[in-house]
Amino acid sequence: MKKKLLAVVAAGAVTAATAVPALALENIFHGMLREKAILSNTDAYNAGDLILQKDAKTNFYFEQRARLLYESKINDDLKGVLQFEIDSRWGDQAYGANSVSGTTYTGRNSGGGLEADRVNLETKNVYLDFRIPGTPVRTKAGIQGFTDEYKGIFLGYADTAGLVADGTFGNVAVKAGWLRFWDINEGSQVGIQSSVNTYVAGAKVTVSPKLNVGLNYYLLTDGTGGAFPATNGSATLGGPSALLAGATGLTSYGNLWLHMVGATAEANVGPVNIDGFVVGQFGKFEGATATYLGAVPKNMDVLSFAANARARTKLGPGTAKAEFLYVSGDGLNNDRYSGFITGSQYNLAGSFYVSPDMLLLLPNKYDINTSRAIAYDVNFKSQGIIGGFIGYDANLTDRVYANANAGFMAAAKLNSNSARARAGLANDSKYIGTELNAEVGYKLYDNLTASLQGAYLILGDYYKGTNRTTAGVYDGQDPDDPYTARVMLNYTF
Amino acid sequence: MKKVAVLIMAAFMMSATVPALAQMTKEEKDMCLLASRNCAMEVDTIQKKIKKLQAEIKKGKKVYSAEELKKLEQKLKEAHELLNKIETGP
Repeated sequence: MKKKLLAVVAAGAVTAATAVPALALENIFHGMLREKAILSNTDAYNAGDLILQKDAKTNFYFEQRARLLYESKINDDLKGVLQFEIDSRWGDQAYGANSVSGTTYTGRNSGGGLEADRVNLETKNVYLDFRIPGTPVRTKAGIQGFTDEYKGIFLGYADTAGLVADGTFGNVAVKAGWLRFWDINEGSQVGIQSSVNTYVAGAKVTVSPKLNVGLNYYLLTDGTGGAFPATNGSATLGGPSALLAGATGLTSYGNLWLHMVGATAEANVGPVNIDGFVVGQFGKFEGATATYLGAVPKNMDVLSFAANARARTKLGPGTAKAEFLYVSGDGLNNDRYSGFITGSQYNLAGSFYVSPDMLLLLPNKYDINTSRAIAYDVNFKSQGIIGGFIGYDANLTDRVYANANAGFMAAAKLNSNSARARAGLANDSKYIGTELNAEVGYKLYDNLTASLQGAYLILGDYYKGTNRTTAGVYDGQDPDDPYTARVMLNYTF
Repeated sequence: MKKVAVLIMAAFMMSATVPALAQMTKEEKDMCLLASRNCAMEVDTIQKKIKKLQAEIKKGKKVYSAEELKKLEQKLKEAHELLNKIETGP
């Protein structure tokens, strides 16, 4: 009997030990799968400016995007994060080559042709997320997503390598970080100044439950010496310096130090939520050359400005909203640059301003690779923009929603990049156009939404007479007003 | 005495191996959301996590301390940011 009792006690001890759950690691997956059909006379199946043409043909694309996010979570204070993406357009490519022309394309953003089987997995983010022990400071180290405090007009939904820390001390939230955009290979070595970096510092104070204010300082250092074309391996886009050259007209420069100082505020005033920002840039392109600067390199000062205000309030079954954005522009005719330099001068879609829910005037938050807009980047080829936007978002039932928006946009300053200037016409009108768009959606399941979107842009006199034929000739006619219609299935988990 | 010991051990073994699946009452804290403890084998979708966080925050100071509520609100903010990150952007 003693032995039996011992056996029971031993069994109980083993059970007690094994009944405590082992919670050392959580493997967490989240993601998204989006299917989208597009019927349009202006969208092309890649990103950039809208294609405006007289008698434009009607295009039809069906594209899809999958994103998978994995977190290896030890506890609330420590996790690793990886995010992947797979994009393709139905009927584009399969296996490793284009079966029609025999040309071999890179794998990303393709693989929807017959037989699929394309190597097309992209890595968006790989970073460590941890709290510094004994402090309220969280740090992200690695290739991470970053959006600025200015609704993405400088850096919006950008995937960028860096080290960013933030923490809340009482009613003050502080942030500091370093982002490395590019480095320049010089025989497999990277000189200490041969890189493009952005340093970030800021604080946001919760003054009261109805008011918070923020102050931020960013410093962009570009030590690439204006290497045209850049030698850093970004061959598909000709390097970041080429994008900067395209916007500013610079043919070379030494270095750029760009300071950005800005303030943000958000307040609840009665039933209305108001938020906005003001931000200024100042700095210098050292030793710059451009056709408008003359042959001898000279320093070109940078002084630019952007401001935004948005108001939202509940109205009936939904929310009414209004937003204004001003971004300064430059005439590209003297040694002071007043255009607003953005992350998109360092890679396509580095900045991404989608707050007003446009589909044609600005990029849209649900764009996949068919992502084109009049002002894809608020620098707008150094012209800047003045935009006013209104809209209404309604939940009609717990499954059906609808929204409608209108946008009005003009160039802040005309220059040699303006549409009429490029067409050899008098550069005399800033009004770009008026967009009207609407969307209706239905929640098939909590995680799956089907929606129909449509947008039409009434072009303004900025584009009068600027039609360019497919042969590249400006024929003095007006391009057609662009439109786009989209059906989308969106699954998020 | 020996019979009592055997009975006690048997009861312990049965209770330890049966997973604690009792429903949380309205007034109890959700320790999985608050501190990543006692999470079941399933992982919530991001939408379900947002709904659960909103429901817990609604319980307010009857169930949670001010600091715990702040922690839940921070987690709700992070969940919205995660949803935005997955769904939005180029």
